[in-house]
Amino acid sequence: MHKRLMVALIVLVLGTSLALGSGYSIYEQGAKAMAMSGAFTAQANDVTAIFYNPAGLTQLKGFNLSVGTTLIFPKSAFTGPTDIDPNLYNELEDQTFFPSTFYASYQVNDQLALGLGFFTPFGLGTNWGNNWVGKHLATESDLKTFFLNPTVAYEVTPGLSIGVGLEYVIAEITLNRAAYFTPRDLWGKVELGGDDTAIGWNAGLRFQATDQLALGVSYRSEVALELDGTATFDFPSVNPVVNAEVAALFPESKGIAPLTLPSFLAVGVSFQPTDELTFEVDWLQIGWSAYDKLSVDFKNETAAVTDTDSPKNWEDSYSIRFGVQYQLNDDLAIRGGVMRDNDPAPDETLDPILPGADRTLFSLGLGYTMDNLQIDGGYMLLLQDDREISTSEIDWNGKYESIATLFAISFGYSF
Amino acid sequence: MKLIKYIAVIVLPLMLVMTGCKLSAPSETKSTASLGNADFSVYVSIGNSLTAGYQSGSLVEEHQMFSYPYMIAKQAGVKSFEQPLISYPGLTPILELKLLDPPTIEPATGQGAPTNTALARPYNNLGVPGALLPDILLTTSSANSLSPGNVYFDVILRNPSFAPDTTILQQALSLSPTFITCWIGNNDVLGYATSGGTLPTTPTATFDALYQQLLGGLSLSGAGIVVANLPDITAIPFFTTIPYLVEVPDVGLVPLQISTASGTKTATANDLILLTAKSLIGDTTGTYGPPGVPVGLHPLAPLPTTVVLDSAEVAVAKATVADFNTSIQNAADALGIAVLDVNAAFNDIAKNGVSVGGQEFSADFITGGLFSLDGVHPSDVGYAVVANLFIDKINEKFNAGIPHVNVLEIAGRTSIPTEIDAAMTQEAAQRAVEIFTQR
Repeated sequence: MHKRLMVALIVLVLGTSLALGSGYSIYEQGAKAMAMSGAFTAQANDVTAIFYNPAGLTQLKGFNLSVGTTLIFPKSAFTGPTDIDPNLYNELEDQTFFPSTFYASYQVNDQLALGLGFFTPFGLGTNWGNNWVGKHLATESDLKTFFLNPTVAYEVTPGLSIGVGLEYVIAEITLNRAAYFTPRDLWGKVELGGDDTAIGWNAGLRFQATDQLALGVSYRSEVALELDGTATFDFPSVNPVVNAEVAALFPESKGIAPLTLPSFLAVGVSFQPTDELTFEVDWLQIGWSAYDKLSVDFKNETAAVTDTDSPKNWEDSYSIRFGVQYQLNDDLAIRGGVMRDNDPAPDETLDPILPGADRTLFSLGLGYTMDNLQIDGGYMLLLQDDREISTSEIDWNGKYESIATLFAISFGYSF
Repeated sequence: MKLIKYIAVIVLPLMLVMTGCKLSAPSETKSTASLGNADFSVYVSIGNSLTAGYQSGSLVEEHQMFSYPYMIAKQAGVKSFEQPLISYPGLTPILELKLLDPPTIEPATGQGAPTNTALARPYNNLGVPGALLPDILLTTSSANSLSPGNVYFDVILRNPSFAPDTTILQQALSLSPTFITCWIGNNDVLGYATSGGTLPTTPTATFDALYQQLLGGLSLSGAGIVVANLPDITAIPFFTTIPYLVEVPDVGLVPLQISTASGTKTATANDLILLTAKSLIGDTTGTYGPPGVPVGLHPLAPLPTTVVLDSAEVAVAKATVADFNTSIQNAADALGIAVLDVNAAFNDIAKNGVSVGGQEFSADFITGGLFSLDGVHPSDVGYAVVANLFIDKINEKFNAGIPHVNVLEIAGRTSIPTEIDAAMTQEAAQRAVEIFTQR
């Protein structure tokens, strides 16, 4: 059996050539779902359904708790910019990210279930160092989001469930870069930091059409943030005159940057030909077209600190996700998956803050059940297509290369 | 046992995949020079202050290390490229920006001295500040130069060290150069323009004949040669910084009164007010007109003709540059020598600025980054841009792959004095703000 499974996986891998987004989203919010490359909207049969499809919660009995984390090890390099040196190789400094989750659900009765989720579906972190060739564009960038998501699920008729939730969102952003004080031929640093909280919502539907076939639809709303923050400048101390000029031209400045987190729309179909085997195919749209510009509105502009308005013109991204699970025995399940998506950033506005490109993901994982305890582990390899930029509107042409490995583990307890 | 088998099926491929999933840095993490048909064994540069690496009114080691020939030599992997280095603060002391606004630019105190004097052969960089085209072919010392008293001829040519007395051209050829860059002729019209049209240009016919003679001489060496033509000098900050309108309290913007060859007139946008007029405008001491009458603001005290390039003189300067460039092109074409079109490149830069990897620089005085404090000569960054123009031309003509100078690494290298007059500090802040808001 396992041989056939491997063959099936290989066929899938070679057969997937959709040129399909990623942006700064993190769809890996559960070890089981991750092991199936996120193809989980129709199954939604563990407590991570709060993230993937809240309607799935009605499948769970009693109390269900889960804590989990995903270790992400990204690697990126930029070769260029071509107008300086087409072969200048710049590597992103190594960082590890561990977006973590907490989920809880309670089945009130046969129809009604309640849930609470905590997860981080958006984030980014890139650090190119303070002295790299693109320091005037970005040195260290960091976006963190935290979602608290209370959820209600209801089985309308046998097989048909709906779920809705509210999101309380906390977001925090830091964008650092170098600034050049031309008259004094002096480089300094700018640190732009801001945060905000906002409310969003989500809803899902799940239909168990037959014993074998299930459908799922899940939607998560846009979240409009008004990041409220401060720009601080740090220039080396030179002499009293220059220091005074710097202090006058580059004061600490309050500012507001609007940023909309995009919507998610996922549609999935799962098929279970035998008791042991489950397949699922999902389609996911992320509404990145909401990210049309990055503007910062300073409350007190000075001669050198002025409002900025950088066009981004991102497009919606689409992914196709395929997952499979094989239940070896009562305790152990093995899983695999593959996904392909497209990067939302157009060539014209792509910058080193987020070195994205179209991606292919491969995933593998195990699920182990021991009485009330459920342990899920997953591994994912993210292969980003090499991306050659020649039409940059910010004069930043060159080649981006990225790769990432992810390890997820979660512990669930049901009673 | 069955479980182990399944785990093996998953874990083994997983480990294989993981070992293959590192980005591998290329063996070369930046471009290395390939010289194509160019031979940089002995590289010699000929020219004037622009070639010497002169900036902010001085020739000084700190900036000579960013002369465009020196940067070309470094990029091309030249092992020995000797320059007539002069210690800080330069022979004429370098200008320093004491205050940002009003731009208070003063020479450093003290005087530098030549340091690379023991070199027992001519320098590779034979750019002599102040040199005119005829000087390249005829001058052996300050005494017989077209700008008598210009000690740079003595410091750089060091006659009679290489007896008999030799000219720039002769010293260049004596090095048996394999590669030559030549950028000469700027002063043959710049002197006219910076003097407000009071000094002569080199006659066009003379320029034409001498340029042919120069290239004929250089080509005898058998070296690869690239020459550069002349930029439209009226687009440099020396001519573009001071507006022809001045703000008079309670009145508003008033055009300046200027003195021209055809008498006093009211300035228009076509007349260029020189940077040297800055300290004269509004002066009432009586040095430039009747006492008590503000200079430039009254027909009785027009700005002197030496600080104004009026529209007729602008036309002469532009026409002369065009004529000289025709001569340069023709002479080079006749010998198959490549011409770097600095004129076109600088017109574009003057209009649009330069973006390097998205970092913007412009030809604006002080705030633009491309020009030094004398308003005529480039800054380190500006010279790096010039070096890259030459490199592009060399690569094109000689099928070479010399990498560009990383302009962004050149930016931020100016050393700024740490000691400064404390009384200036207070004013600095206030005025720094104003210089930007005025723009």
